[in-house]
Formats: sequence, C-alpha cells, structure tokens
Amino acid sequence: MPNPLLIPEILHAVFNNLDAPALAVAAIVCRSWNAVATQALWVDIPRLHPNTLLYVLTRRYGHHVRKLDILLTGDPAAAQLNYVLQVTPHLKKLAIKLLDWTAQTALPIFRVIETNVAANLDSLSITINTRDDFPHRPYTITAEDAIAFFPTLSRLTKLELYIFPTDETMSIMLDSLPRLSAVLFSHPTASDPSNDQEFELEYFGDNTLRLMGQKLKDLRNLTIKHNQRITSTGLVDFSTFCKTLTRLSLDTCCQPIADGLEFLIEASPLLTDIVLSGTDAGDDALVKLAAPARAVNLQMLAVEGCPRISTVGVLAIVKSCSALKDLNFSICYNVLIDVFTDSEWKCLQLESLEFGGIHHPRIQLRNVSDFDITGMYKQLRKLQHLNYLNMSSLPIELKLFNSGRVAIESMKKLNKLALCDRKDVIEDREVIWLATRLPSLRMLRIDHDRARRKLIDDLHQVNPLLHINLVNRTSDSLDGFDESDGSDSESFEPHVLGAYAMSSDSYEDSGTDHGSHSSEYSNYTGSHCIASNGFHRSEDESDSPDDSHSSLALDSIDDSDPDDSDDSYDFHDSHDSQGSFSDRTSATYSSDISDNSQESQDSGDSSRSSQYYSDDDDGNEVSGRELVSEDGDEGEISGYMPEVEDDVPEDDDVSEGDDVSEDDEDVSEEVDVSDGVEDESEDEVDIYEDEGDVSDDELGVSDDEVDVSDDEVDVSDGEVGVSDDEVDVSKGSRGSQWQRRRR
Amino acid sequence: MPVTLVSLDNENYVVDKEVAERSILIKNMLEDVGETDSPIPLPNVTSTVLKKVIEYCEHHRNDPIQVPDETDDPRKRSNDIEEWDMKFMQVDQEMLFEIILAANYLDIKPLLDVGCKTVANIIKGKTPEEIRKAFNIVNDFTPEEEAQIRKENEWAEDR
Repeated sequence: MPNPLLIPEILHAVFNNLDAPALAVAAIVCRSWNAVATQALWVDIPRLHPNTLLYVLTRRYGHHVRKLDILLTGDPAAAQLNYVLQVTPHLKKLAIKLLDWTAQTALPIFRVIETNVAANLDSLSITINTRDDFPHRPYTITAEDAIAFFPTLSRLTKLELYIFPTDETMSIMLDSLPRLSAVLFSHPTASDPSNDQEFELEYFGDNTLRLMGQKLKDLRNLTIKHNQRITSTGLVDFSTFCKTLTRLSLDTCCQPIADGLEFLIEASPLLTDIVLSGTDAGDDALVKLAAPARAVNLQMLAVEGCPRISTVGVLAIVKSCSALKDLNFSICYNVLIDVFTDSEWKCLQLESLEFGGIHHPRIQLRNVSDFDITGMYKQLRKLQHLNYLNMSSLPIELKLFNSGRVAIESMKKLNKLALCDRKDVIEDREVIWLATRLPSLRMLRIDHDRARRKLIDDLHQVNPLLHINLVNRTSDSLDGFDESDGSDSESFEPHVLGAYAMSSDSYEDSGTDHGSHSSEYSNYTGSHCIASNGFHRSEDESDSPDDSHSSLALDSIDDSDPDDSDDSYDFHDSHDSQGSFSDRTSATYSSDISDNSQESQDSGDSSRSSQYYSDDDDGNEVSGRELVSEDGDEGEISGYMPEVEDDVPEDDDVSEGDDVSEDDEDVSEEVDVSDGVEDESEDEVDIYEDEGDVSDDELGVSDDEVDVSDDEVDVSDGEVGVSDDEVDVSKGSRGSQWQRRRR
Repeated sequence: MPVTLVSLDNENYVVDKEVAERSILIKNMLEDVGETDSPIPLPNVTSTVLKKVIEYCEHHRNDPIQVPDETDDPRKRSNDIEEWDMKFMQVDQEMLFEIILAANYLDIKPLLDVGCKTVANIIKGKTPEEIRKAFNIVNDFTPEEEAQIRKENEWAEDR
C-alpha cells in the first residue's frame, strides 16, 4: 500500500485542516511535505511588515500568496508596497494599513495597487491613519484619486475603507464598483467627533446611503461604523431600493436611526446578522426581527450598549429565534435578569452569549434573588453548544461554583469564558476546577486581583492549553455611571495595543463565524458608545490567548503613535475573524498585564477593585483590600486604599445602618489596625494560607457569617471614614472569615 | 435498485444504488453503462476496506451532496468531526490510510475529508520528529536545511 501521506493531493487535503503553526512544523518533516506545506502556508500572509525576513521571502514565495495583510509606515510605503505586490501576481485579497501618513494624497499607493494587482483583486481594505500631530485634516480620499483608482478594481466585490470619504468620493466609487456585495465604512476618527466638526460635515451621509441602495445591486453585507451623519431618512431611502441585505451593522451610528431601522428590518427579509450596538435601536426593532416569519433566519444579534433595549426586546428574541448562534446584549442596562426566568429560551443553538452589565443596580431597583440565579443557570444549562460565554460585569453574585456548577459542567464545548468585573472573586482553586471540568476551555478572563503565579503553575498541570487573561477591573465603571464620563478616555488607551495587529480576514464573508464576528463589533461598542453613556466597560471581548499576538501588536505599535487610540479601533475592528479567537490581540483594558505578565506589580491600578455593585443584597463582597493583603504586598495595599474611598460612597444600601452606629467604637479601633498596614502584612500572609481551607459554601453568604459581619463593617468604616450607607458593602462571608481569623 | 460491488479479493457486496452513488466514481460508471445488473469491479479496494466504506456510505446515504467549494474559507479549518464519523475513524493507522486511499480512488469527498481531518488531528501538537515517527516518514533534510526552513517559517509559528 502506498503511503497516502506522500501523495501531494491527499497531503494538500490534510494540510487544509492545519493552521499556520502546524504547517510550519509540517514543512520540516520531509521534502515532499515541505513542498505542499510551504504552498499552503504562503496562501495567506498576515501582518507583513517591511524589512522583516518574511518581507524578503516574498521574493521567493510570493506566487503562492492569495491573501495579504500589510502594514506600512510613512514615506517609503509606496516603494515597499511595490516590492511586495510585484511578486504576488495571484493576490485576491489585500489589506493595507498606512500609518503616520502625512502626504495629502494616497495616489502613489493606489498606483502601485493598480499596476500590480488591481484587476485580480476581489477584496480590498484600506486604512490610512495620519499622525496625531499632523496639522492637516485627516486623510480624505479625493475625487481625483477616486476617479483614477476605483475603476481599475474591476473584479472587486468586497471593499473596506477606514478613511474619510465624502459624499462626492462615495458617489464616484459606487459608480465604478457596481459589483460590490460587501462594504464596510468606518469613520477613522471616531472617538472624539467634537474635534472634527468640520470634517464631520463632509463625511458621507444619507445621500450616499441612498445611492448605495440604488447602485449596488448585489449588496448583501453592509457595515457602517461610527458614522454621525446617517439618519433614519437614509436608512429608509436605502431600503426602498435594497431589499437583499443579509448582514447589517450600524455599530455606533450616533444619530437617531431607530425609526429608519425598523423600516429597514421590515424591508429586508433575508437579514441573518445584525449589529445595532451603540445605537438608539429599541425593543420594536427586536420584536420585528423576532416575528414568526423572520425568527428562523436570525443567526447573530448584537445590541451591546443600547439603552433603549429592555427585557421585552431581548425576550422576544430568545423566545423565538431558534437559529440564533450569537447573541450579545451586554450593557443593556434596562434588561433585567428576568430575561432568563420569564420564559423558556428557544435559541438553544447559541454558540456565543454575552450579557455582562445587564440589570444595572443603579437603574433596577429589584434585587436579584436566589431564584433568579437558579433560573439563569437553568437556562444556561440548556445551551449545550456554547463556546463563548461572557458574564462579566454582572451586578450579582454569580454563585458559579454552587448554583452554577451543573450548568457550567454541561457546557462541553466552552472555549472562552469571561468573568471579569465580578462582585465576588474567583479563587485559584475555582479556576483549577473550571480548567479540570472544562477540558475544552482555552481562555479564561478574570479580574486582576492578585498575584496568580502559583495558579499559573498549577494550571499547567491540569490544562496546559488554558490561557488566563487577567483584566484590570474597570473600577470606576459604575461610579461614573451617573456622573458622566470623567476619566474614561484614558482607560481606552490600552486598546491601542491590539489595534495594529491585524489581518485581512475581516472582510472574509464569514457567514457562520458568528462568534468572532460579534466580538469584532463589540470591541468597539464596548468602548465607544459606552463612553458616551458614562458607563465605560473597557473590556475587550475577544482576547487572544496567544501571547505572541500581544507582543506582535506591541511591536507594531512602537513605531506608531500610542495616542492614536481612535484610529486603533478601526484597526482592531478590521481584525481577523478566523475560527477561533486565535488571531485576536488583547486590546484589553489590561493589555499591559495580559497573559504572561501576571506578575506585573502594577500595584495601584491593578488592584483597584471591588464594590461596584455593592448595593446588592448578596453581600459577598470580597474587597480589594483582602485581595491585596493576600499578596502580602504593601505597595499594593497602599495603592488600593484610596480606591476604597472612591468606591464606597457610591453605595446606597442602608439596610444595616443600625449596626453601624452601634459599633462606632469599634470603628476607631479598627482604624488603627488597618492604618498599620505594614505591621499587618505578615498576618495577612498567614491569612492567605488559611484561605485555602475555606469551603465552597463559605463563598455564599451564610447566616453565621453575617454575625461576624459587623466586624468587617467596622474595618471598612474605619479605613474609609464613610457614611453608614456602605455597611452592606463589606458584610461579606469571606471578608468576615478573614476578620475572624485575624482576631 | 441494488448494485453489486466486487472487491480486489473477489468478495461481492450488494448495496442500494443510492448508497453506491455516494462514490462519484461509481455514480459516473453507472451513468455511463446505464441500467445494468453486472457487478462493478473495484480492483483497488480490499474487502475489509470496502466493507468499511460501505458502512460509511450507508450511514450517510441521505446527506446532501457536497457542493465543491474552493474558497480558502478559514471556517473549513474548524476540524469539527461529527461524532459518528469520529467513532467510525477510530481504526488503526493502516486502516485509516486504506480508507483515505479508497475514498480518494472512489471519489467520496466527505469520507476523504473526514480521513484527512483525522490525520490533521494526529499531526497537530506534534514535533516534526514525532510526526515522522507516527507516519513512518524518513527525514530527507540535512540539519542545515532543516534549520533554514525553521528560520524561514518562524513568522508562522506565532500566528
């Protein structure tokens, strides 16, 4: 029998199932494998930078390349692009990112594309970022450039522009490229429109939208992000002509579009994927999508950060959309926990579910009961196909390891789990438990509360493929909620890190790749639109578990302007959506401490923590103080203290106010204790060791622990010197435990 | 209407036409000769393998015929193998290879795919040396050549 693995065509079929790292290994096996593996490897080149070995090697292997993603900086860009495109005659998909672009025109770049590959391209993505200190306006593709360039792209069906087209340019483009079936237009300077009022007025708007409907007969996939001129009128005009859309994203289009949206949904019966995050979309839109004739079509819905969406809208969806695979209603703070308990979910095919930040304690007066929690897990337990679950920022004690145990254990396909911004802390042994019970788990995102070095070691034994992603708590998230967005902007900066890591897959029309698709959008909304609400959740949904990506991203950002954070979003958005979350970089809040840097002694910030949801009834509040003390790191302790002050006054729950006054005396005593932080630290280390004995049950609030809670109350009162209100904050099982032992 | 398939070692297998036509090779043959009772010889397939292949075709007799899809869609790399197929492929390596060769010869694309995915899953996570050992492949590179290839492909290792 011949060895089938030496027959090229069979090898080729085998290698089609391998990712790049595996292909790189296969290429070393033997000569016949090398030939096939090299060819497969070079089909798709991500993130090509000039002056790297890969760049030089394109001379030899360029003829294999079908898909290329290239990052160019500054003046030599055109020459460098030419160097590569000359030798990639079979290129079909091209993504170009130009950083630090200072020229008034991008015509030289366009010329290079035109000369070498334009006629073959079926997919093109262009991003042009000017430097922040660039005195001129952001680069806008001129009408002259458009006339010269777009007609050369005769086979183009997919176009992404992260530049600044005007209505005029767009009109030329639409005339030249009638075959487009998928388009994406993302505002390059999205985050702070106030700086760009003049440009705003020139950015394309409703007119172009109408033309798109009229001229693009094959349009299926429309994405317009961060546009501030599109209104309901444009949407109505558009859908008067175009009724064939299957995918629509109006991510963070800030104008009122709700009415037009409803019209469009009504007029587009084929819609399968829809992203309305950061818009004023309301329940009516969702109810329309959930109508009997439509419900079976819907596969993906993201309404992250839509304040007008309530329980009613989401319930309509989950009750009827049986084909839904990807649902994100994070930060819809008008959605209550009832969404899980009111009726049976029909969307049992869900593969990705994100619902952090619902049931906002500032808005929802109703407390979450055990019944709710049980109901939630009962519902989650039926979602056997979940591979991504994001329960970050929930204002409730999740009881993940009590009530949630069975539900979690039944998620056999769970690949990514995000549990950040939590009310209760995830213990190391709970992480171990998750890693053991869920062998499919590859990424776990938890708060960066403490050093987890030992955990990482232990984990390696249990599930070496699991990456722990530690995220800085978005500490002021709820504080800022009703006080508008004080310090938000800086917290977004870390997104820059992931921003320049990119790949051309984003315009791969990934009809079923819903998981990553939504992530792609949610990144953006999680920051942008939320910023405007003052509820910022600077959390990236789609981190890479792969350290190397982060570092690549970091590398690439070195030569660009880190302040360029707005633009970076666009990059990030255009990021890969390949199968897993493999190519995604961690543009998280915590990028600087991601994955491999758990040791980061990023004291003050990283241990900022706790008590966002402290007015909740389940006072299982494990305060940052405790965490810090477990580290035995005094630096962190002192770094943390001020945060307590900031956080605690936010709490409204006065349910135990009586106790406080009774214990006034204790308060002053406790002040001394906790002021002497340095003296305490030794004890605290001991306490940490004791912690290991705490059983699961103690995680929940049990009655006997409440008895001790007064002590705990004293402590925080003392330290913080705040009002009675916050008593409940520290009425907590484990906190109490801790106190008890200390005595 | 049943069709008779004859293996290399002259075993006869009578299967439904619908099952036999999972093989594009057989389907084309049947279309060429029209209605016929004469057995179809499959001189490249032994009876043990043919039995196995027929088992697969029986199970998948009602699957929709795959549309050839040449796109380099990354989703195809998902490597999800159906549970039944996974079990079906739990065979020793010789049989795995035989099935792949038979699927290739008989032109049964889904079976070939499952076979290739199974092989891919064996490759994943292994070092080159482990792969060579697993599949009995001789390393015909010099150490220098190997080092050179490693260097050239470094970029792919952290994708």
